[in-house]
Amino acid sequence: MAKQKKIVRAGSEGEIPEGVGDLLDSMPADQNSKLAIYNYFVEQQLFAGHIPTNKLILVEVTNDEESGREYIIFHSLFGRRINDAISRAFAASLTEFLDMDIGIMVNDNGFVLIPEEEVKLNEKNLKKIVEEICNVGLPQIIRANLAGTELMKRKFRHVAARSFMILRNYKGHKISVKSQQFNSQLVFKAAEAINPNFPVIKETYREIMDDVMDLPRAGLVMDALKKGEIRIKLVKTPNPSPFSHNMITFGQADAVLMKDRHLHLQRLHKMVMKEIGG
Amino acid sequence: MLIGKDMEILEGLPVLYIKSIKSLVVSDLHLGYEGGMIKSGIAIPKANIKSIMETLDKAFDGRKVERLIVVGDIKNDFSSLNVEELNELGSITRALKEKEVLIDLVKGNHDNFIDGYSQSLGIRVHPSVFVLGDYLFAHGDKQLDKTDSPVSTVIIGHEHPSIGIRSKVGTVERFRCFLTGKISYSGRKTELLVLPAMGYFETGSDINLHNKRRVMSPVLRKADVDKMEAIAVGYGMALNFGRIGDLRNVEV
Repeated sequence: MAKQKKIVRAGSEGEIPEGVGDLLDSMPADQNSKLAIYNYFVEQQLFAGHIPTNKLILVEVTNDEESGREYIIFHSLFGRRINDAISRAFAASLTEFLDMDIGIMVNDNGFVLIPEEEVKLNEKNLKKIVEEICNVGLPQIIRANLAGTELMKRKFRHVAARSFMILRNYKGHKISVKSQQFNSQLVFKAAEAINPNFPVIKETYREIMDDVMDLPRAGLVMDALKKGEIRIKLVKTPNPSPFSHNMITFGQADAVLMKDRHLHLQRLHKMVMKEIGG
Repeated sequence: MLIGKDMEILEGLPVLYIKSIKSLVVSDLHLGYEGGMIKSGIAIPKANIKSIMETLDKAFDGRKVERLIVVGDIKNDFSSLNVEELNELGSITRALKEKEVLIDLVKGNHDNFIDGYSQSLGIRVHPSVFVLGDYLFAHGDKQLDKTDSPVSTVIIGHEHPSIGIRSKVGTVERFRCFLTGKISYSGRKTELLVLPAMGYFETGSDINLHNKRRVMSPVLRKADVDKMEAIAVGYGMALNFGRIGDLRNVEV
């Protein structure tokens, strides 16, 4: 281990935390695994120049080589439940600023925002977004932007089945998940038209905000960001860095859609016309 | 949005207005839909009739309307005319009677057993096609019957057309749409107009994302769907998205 540590120190001013080698040595893993873990950190350090920690969210702006699309990767090591919440908040404020849909992917070690077009992002406007989220309040932003997301559709199915608005079994035959999903969306449409606070809808929001996400702790992270206790560092990379590969390939995907549907339809129309040359 | 000189697609609504015959034309209301779903174990609260009434109110606003033409599927259940359907049909026909509007229904595949109630409901029921002015109205679930009167435009429903726009973010946005194009009817080139469904739950099948052969209506199968134009309605607008064929591989 000691040998590897020296190499890194020489290469890039040693941002790999002190004592990592000793820590790894104390782990119940064989030598090869330890080496692989260590090298994983070294690669990230050499490639991106920074390693995210509990006090540092690394924001990586990069491009997907195949599709040529921009990825904004947040390395935030707070677990899926917190990342789910703050990713939606960031995506929501970005859609508001930019009038476009934004795809998101989430996992335990961060989240990826995928805007429709390239976004000019710097640390200053990231800071602004953080402040805006803190001012409006995380729960409010998330609640307002859940409508129409995949998460909402899926969770509503669970809640509707639990409250017997759709049935998993009927007259002795099983109802497929696919048709349960279809049926639950019909129920949702009807319930929403009657009252946006229909009990089953209300319960779905509760389940998402309290069980799927960890809003109180996500709030703490946002507060710490605002106060500067957790720093945000933005880097530009030509390709996704080693830490982000997992996120891009295995993250849970969803999208935050523009709220103004009237504007949205107009925008889609314009884009389609451009695409087909009409 | 005007189509030709005489027809108007009301902005944002799945409703057609024809000036020369002072008529509103709608399709596929599927009244009683929730009742049928409740029977098969899905507890959908009622929303269809309310949305239809609101849409009609908006459509009547400021227009001279003497007649409402429904091109099929005013109700939903195949095997009976059930209580929910009768109640909802009653409330719609009463509201229209107050406005002194005639109701013409061209029978669709869902409209079984309605003939017996046509008198009490005050609905004129046409078994296969209905001609008024230059227009021929049919449901579109069967080949069109021949008529002697010359027609310039055929108007059908049944298909519940919508277009799906794929986004790079990975979502598919769906909008109900009208389809306009041409078919040959009685040996002559005739305009064809397909209406979107009016029912609240019938969001439609994405014409541009499905294979051409999966089109339901035999009338539409005869016309080349790829050459038809889609006019999307929703959110207070009607927007022409161009030919279906061009929309097949679009991703924005």
